[in-house]
Amino acid sequence: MKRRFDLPTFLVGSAAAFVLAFIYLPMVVVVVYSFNPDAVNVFPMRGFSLRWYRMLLDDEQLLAALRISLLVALGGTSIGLLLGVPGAIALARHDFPGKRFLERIVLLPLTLPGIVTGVAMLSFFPLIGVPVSLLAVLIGHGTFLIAITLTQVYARLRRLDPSLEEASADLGAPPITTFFKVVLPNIKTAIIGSALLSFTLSLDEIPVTFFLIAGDNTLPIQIWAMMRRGISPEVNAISTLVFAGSIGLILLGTALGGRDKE
Amino acid sequence: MGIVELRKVVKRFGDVEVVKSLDLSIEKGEFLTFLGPSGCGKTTTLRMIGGFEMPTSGEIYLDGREVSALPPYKRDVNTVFQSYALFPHMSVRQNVAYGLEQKRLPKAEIERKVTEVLAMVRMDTFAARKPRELSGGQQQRVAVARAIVNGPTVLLLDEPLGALDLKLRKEMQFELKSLQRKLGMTFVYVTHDQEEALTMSDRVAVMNGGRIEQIDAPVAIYNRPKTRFVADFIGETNLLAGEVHREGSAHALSLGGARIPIEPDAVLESGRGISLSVRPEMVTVRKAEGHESEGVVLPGTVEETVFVGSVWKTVVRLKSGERVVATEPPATHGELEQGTSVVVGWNPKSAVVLEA
Ligand SMILES: Nc1ncnc2c1ncn2[C@@H]1O[C@H](COP(=O)(O)OP(=O)(O)O)[C@@H](O)[C@H]1O
Ligand SMILES: [Mg+2]
Repeated sequence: MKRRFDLPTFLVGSAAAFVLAFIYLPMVVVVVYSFNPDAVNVFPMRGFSLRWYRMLLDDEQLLAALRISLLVALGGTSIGLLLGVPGAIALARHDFPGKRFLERIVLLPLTLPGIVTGVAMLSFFPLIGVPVSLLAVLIGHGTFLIAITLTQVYARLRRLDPSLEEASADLGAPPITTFFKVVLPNIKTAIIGSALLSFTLSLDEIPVTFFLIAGDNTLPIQIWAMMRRGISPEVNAISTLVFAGSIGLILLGTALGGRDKE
Repeated sequence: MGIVELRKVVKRFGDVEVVKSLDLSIEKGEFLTFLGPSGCGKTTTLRMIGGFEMPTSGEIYLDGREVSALPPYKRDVNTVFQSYALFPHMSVRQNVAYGLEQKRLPKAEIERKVTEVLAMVRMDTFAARKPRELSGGQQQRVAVARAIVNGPTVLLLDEPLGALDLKLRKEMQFELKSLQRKLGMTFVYVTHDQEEALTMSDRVAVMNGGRIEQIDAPVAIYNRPKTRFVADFIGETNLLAGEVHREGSAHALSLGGARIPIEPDAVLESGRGISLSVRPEMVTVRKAEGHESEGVVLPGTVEETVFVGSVWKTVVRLKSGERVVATEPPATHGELEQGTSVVVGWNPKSAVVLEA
């Protein structure tokens, strides 16, 4: 059969290509320029160099910021998991006063503009004795990451037949055993998925961090500070590394998610 | 004392009383079925025995021990769930071994018991499969194996065959029944399918609106229903409502102008409202030529005759206005045309007198 020109298909195809280009072209530019031997972004480049990556390794401030960012992402994600998973179970499997209300407001920290959350926390944390500090940033990230874990795990639990847990109890397993042997294996991928998503979201969070930070900069804030002194090719290099790391996490998440379904 | 005892068990969800003061004693080794329309409280009752719901009031005893407030994992009861509830991430073998592992039996013993029970339900060749790789009937067998391998005091089954097609359902009814006989295990079964209840059970508890209307052997449930509801719910029946007319020791039901002889178990006063239940297979239809004086004889006209293979099914409109359905062997008479004048009759002993 001969393929004829099909206008709708052509239009949809072009739109898709345009959207993809719109999203990824800037990223490609950053990646390409990160290997630029010159300090000015001009095309064509005069060659290929790892100069900016080497410079990065010597930049104590940037490396410190990266360490802090990883620490905050790790801590925030842990808070999100430790509170989000039990929260999701409580919402999906138990009745308690205020459940409806909680169901409605749990997404708020995600949907509110970061600036509002940031200002709110800035004025609230000192009231409970938490000074503006790395700890404040950690708690700040934790609060909106709870929403991620909670909603993802809750959605998975809603699709999990509650009679599985009853069957486990019926066969003599106390609640703890039921959780580890029946519930956890079935929500495992949702937990891993939300952990990876939380980690990446925390890694590039600016507004909340900006309000709560004191001294120790996270990576995005450090980059932003560097940009004020003009675009440094070093920024291209660190962005490329973060980009590669994120892609890696996403692929890992998809791979684990896929394994769950076979 | 029975192996399962329910004493004045009430279950309320909010303001709704779903189970109303249930008293019940289940014998060791018997096959007891809760039968009733959807929403009458069968599942709720079963779940209270299993420990998934706590009674609002009343007590439940298992093997002489009060368990009303015990969680499921502290009761020696196992359940076959309607959805089977097989663990999707475990193989058939792991599913069946789960209960024995909770009891911390030695590995070798678990292995042996699982193999034995899988052979018993003819699933031994599927031991390594995951539940989703099995057909509905196979999943059902695994669900039964997973429960009986623990040798529970009582096995609870909530509409276990509900999701299967008709042919498979009949086969599984037979298999479950013979399994129960072989194991001598107490089965408490829930269904809304009366045929299933009658064929499998030693006793049937007919439920309606949160109460047990009658609990009896299947034959008694069918032949001697105690309430209008039971007579109507089990099988097909003709229900005729009227007043008692008594002359000495002879009773009759006044229906329009007619007097139908009845034989109630006790003496009834004249004027009392009652219902008469007559099974279609007890009713005969004859052309209104000869004179039959034996038993019940009521004139009417044929509304419809249908040949249903094994029987003629005839619908007759009585002079008094009621419809009476009769099913008779094909040899009794030929097709009766619509409008034919007939008399219907039955032996008064085969009709059951019920409260109005
Ligand atoms: N957890 C519950 N909360 C509120 N109502 C319930 C609950 N479980 C059952 N019911 C109600 O109780 C009644 C009896 O339910 P059930 O025992 O499942 O009936 P059956 O098994 O005979 O169909 C139904 O009206 C049902 O809606
Ligand atoms: Mg039910």
